[in-house]
Amino acid sequence: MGKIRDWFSYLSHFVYAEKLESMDQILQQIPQQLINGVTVGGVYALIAIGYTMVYGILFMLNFAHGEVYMIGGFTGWWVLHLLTNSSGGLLLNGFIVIILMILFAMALTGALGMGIERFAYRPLRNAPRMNLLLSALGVTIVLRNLVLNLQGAKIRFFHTSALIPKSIQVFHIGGTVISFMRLLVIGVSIGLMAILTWFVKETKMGKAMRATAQDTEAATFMGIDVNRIILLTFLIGSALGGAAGALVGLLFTQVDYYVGYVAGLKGFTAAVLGGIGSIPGAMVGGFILGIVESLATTLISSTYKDVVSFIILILVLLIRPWGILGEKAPEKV
Amino acid sequence: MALSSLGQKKIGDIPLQSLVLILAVVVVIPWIMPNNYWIRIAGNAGLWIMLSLGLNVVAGFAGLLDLGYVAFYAIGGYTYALLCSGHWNIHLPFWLVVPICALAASACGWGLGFTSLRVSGDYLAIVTLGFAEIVRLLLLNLDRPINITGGPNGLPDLDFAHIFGFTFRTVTQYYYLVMFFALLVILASYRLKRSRLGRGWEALREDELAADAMGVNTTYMKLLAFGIGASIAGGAGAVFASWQGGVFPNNFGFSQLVTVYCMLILGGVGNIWGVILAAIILSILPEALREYGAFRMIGYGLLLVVLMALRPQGILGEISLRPKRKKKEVEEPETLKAAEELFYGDGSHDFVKPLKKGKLNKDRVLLELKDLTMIFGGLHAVDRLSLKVYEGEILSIIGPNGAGKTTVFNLITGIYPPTSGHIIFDGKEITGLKPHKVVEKGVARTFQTLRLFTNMTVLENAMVAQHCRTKSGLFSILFRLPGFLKEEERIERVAKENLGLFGARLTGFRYKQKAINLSYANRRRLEIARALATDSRLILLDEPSAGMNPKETEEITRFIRNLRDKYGYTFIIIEHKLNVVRTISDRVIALDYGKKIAEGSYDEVADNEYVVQAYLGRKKGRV
Amino acid sequence: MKKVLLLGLSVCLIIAFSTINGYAADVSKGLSIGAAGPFTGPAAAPGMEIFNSIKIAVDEKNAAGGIKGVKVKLVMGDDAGDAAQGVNVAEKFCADKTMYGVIGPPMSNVAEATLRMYAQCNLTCITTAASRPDLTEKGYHHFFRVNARDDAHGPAVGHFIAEDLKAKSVYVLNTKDTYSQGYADQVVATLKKLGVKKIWRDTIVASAKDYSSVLTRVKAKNPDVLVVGAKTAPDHAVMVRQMRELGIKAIYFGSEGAKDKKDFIQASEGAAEGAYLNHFAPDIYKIPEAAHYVKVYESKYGSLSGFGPPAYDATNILLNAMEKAAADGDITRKEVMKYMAQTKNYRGILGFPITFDKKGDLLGGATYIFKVVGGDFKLVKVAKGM
Repeated sequence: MGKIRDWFSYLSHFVYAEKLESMDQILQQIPQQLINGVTVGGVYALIAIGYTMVYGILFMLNFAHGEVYMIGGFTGWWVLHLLTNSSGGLLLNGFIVIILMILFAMALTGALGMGIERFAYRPLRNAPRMNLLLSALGVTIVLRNLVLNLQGAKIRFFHTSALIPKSIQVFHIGGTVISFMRLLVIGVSIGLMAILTWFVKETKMGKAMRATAQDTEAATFMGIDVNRIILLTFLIGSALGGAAGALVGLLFTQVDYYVGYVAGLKGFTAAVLGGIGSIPGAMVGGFILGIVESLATTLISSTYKDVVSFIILILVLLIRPWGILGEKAPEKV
Repeated sequence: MALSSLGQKKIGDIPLQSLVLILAVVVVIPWIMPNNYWIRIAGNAGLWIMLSLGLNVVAGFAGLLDLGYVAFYAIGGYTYALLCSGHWNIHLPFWLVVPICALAASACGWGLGFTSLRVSGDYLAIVTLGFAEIVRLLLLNLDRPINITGGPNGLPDLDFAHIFGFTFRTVTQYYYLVMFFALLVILASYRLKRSRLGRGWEALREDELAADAMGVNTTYMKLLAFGIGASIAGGAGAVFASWQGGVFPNNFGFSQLVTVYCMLILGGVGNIWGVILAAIILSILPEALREYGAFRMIGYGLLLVVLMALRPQGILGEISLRPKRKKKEVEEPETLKAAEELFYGDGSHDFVKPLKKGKLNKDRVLLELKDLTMIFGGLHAVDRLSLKVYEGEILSIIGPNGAGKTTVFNLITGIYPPTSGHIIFDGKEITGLKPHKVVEKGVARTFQTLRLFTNMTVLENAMVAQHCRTKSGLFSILFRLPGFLKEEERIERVAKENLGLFGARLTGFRYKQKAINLSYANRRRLEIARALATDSRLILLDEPSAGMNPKETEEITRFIRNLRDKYGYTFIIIEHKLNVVRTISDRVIALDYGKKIAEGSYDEVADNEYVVQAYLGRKKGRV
Repeated sequence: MKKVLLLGLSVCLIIAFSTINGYAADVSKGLSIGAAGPFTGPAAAPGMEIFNSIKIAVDEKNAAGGIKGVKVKLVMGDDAGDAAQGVNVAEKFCADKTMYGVIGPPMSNVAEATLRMYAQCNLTCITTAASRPDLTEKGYHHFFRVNARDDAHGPAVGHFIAEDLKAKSVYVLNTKDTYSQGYADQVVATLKKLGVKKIWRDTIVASAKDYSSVLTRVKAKNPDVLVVGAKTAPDHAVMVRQMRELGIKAIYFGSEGAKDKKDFIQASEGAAEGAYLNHFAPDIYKIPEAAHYVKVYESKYGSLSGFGPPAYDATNILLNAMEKAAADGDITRKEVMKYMAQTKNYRGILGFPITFDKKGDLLGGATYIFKVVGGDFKLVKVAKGM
């Protein structure tokens, strides 16, 4: 362990010509970094689910998903904005506002997701997959620039301090700090994932969804309306992405028209890390990615945290080419 | 250039008149453009043509979803910047640096390809995307502790291109320089496409497993595609860097990747002329819209969505830019017709495909399996199977569904390495060899679920099969050395000979028909022809008559016998239709639960108690 | 033959597009100025603020009758922040015979890549944000800037931190862009020179919205001052907010970009209180000359950060130079360049007189250091003479 630390420190020394960090300083940061990691990990997981669900059924990378997340963020901001009076006070109880923000964001992005599927992807159902990819890129460009035109390039701020009482905004446990918003993000994301897991496992629609993912043709023969299931998939996946957007707005207090790109990239990475097509995989991948990023900041440097997470992704794929929880599809001969 | 072969039959080079026309347009453009701005745009189009054709090799020909492509462009650009600037005070000559940049990028391409060999499809996409992100972050951050890349500042003030005393300075001069390279890339991709490598890539794209089973070394071909794509991008990067006079990190971002992919897909994946046209259009379009800010991007995005819905095959799609000459039905050599008559009439003619010389040695063991075992997670799919196949024999394998018949084929052809046991072909051990190596030794197969290269033509399908029998490398293909031309001729001849065995069903106008447009029975025939075209001696047929009507079944049965009689092929056949098995087989083996339960003549096996049980169920309630 | 048809078609297309550009020599043939910059893409927010401010200045000029009765046309040249596109924009502006000056490019990369081209066609460029020092060090006469260089403020800020704030340990963070990196480099160099021993550095990603992991690291070091070099105010807002949330006690010192009441002080909802920052000009809201511009901008385009005012002034300086050049009814690009260089003590809305030195940089700029007190900026120090 000591050796590894020395090595990491050497690396950061090389990069920054910085004094070696003491073990204490590193250990002291770990609990805080885990909390940071779990929070963003939850967000990544929510985004990753959208990718993975669509992939599971249509075998396509829905590049536009990052933009759906962005629009979720804007919807949350808009709800908060409408419910705030000119002097910064809230028209409703803060907790109700938070719930409304998330619900509205989910509703709007869910509808948006279905719209995208209906108009940009369905006409291409039987086209080569690269065409779908391009269509998705087209949707991405349109959505991003549409928001740029309607909304301007300005960053929008979430004035969140009025939402929750001062007394519960931040909790201290030893030297570790947890804000209420982090707990909220962790709680809501895990809650949504639990609901999704129940839905997919237990309900009739969820079973139809899994059946469609396994074999679209066979599902059709069993009387499942595949088009409806695909719409449903987009609805759920996009709504979760939208929820992630609103949650991140609450947590980091900002949204702008360009956030979709990075978020999409991270979500996609998380989905692949966990095994694309697998919903539990997306969750696991999201949390792992978030934690790796946070720890890499402490152990190596903030500059190279993304490099570290991509290297880990590549290493994981080299060892398990189908991701952590993904299933190796047996080659049918 | 193969101008010397003018008038002769040319094998897949750019038609001379097209070349002259393109050259004329390229030369004239600077003269008709109103100002430097539009000449620069034209030059940019040239750069984009290079880039998109490079991607076309990786993603178009070989079908590898490479999202790290722009990283190679960046590597080329930065290599140029380091070797031709005051940054480290190295000023190498331009003609030397461009190949170095291409090689540097190519080396990285091989490296990336090598590390990502195990992953495929979308996993490959994310690995390459990760690679691109890593490269981008390194370019942005490697300005300390030692300043290598200039970090966010980039590397400005690069040398002008300087070739043998001439310095390129003006827009027009650079335009010609870029176009020179663009033309080279066009020529190279055209020649690559119509070569064994090009066909190998397309086969890989269409069906990786089938390509492997037809003798294409898929691993090598993937690496080669990565390497070539990367080297083109690297060269383009060098030219770009020299023209811009500097490199900056955001020259090589995701948006550039998106643009190249748009060109590729709009142009029609793999379609060289389409990609070129798309590159031209997409370099002009944003310029025409530059004054409109965000609206320009919305328009661009909408265009993509709509175009994809209306013309999913790309703007050019099926339209070929090569003029389709109204050809009369080409008179195939007399002998081909004869071949048709032999099999489908009474026949007493010669063949195009030379008959087997020498006598078959019916006592010689061609293939031997010794205690072959395959376990899938506890399930014994094949259980200590031993058998011998003699030269010139037709051996049928029968057994109920799930008996392990196809698994035996997969083991022999190397698709699965066996858990234990040995496979000996012609006295040599082939256990654990990769499929393409097995084909090389002389064992070819067909698939139960047809695995043709559906978007390739009938002739190309058969030509792919010669991949492992030929060895023209990159160099001889690009320079069209005599060895390559001769080999191409041979490939085509062999393919046509084998297709000719099926007469008009696979010849004549069908040569140019895509496999996907064939009837079901013809697809089965093409699979057999493809297997024969590998020049193998042992052919494994997996349900050759499945899905055929009685007449077609009878025909294919006689055909297989004929092949054995006239050409001395050895066959192992998996078949469910017992009347086929009866007429065709010298010997029959029955499998159940991976074990051999009976062996002998058809009648012996058919009467065997275990076989009857296996098909009809056990007596006395045994499960 | 289809291929002939298609190639011919594309040639026609090119010719059709190319006729957009006209030719002109004297004033009545038309006057236009170009706005080069990132009006789409990740840097669109500051880019559009610049464009809108240029537009206000041009509209005002045209409302007042234009130059010699000719309305000035503003042409947008969007480069999306990519030098390769910036080069196209430069070529386009150079080729436009009615164009006599360009506002921008505001990004150092793009400015660097296009410097040579604009110089070759004698087109005056006046940048409002490109701060890389060597842009004006290459001996070109067409390039001016109304903003400060990277190396203008770093030393002053370093002195302030070491001497006025008496910091013993400093953590320096910067985003990976030319401006912020140069700023951080200068601050660190000055601090080292002044004997500050404990200095740590790290880089962050611009507009990442989440800096808590790097701040966790800062917390473990417990520095006296945290210096953050970042271009835009929202990044400073989120940084200072998350820093306080984590309970880091250090003094926050932000770079120029933080000077934005709405996007920094208000956006951080109180966390910015007590933070310091530097700027190249006095507070725009406290300058009487700027009141009209601020009112127009905010009513038309919403809130204003630090990127608009210099663009507005730059446009007016350029228009003045064009007016002088056009006084005889005839105008050339070289004339515009000449009158630009002669700009002396121009009093615009920035609160200090603008004069260009020989290289095209601001003459006698100063560093204004502000502290956030009671939800507003309070000037605490003016460091002159660099």
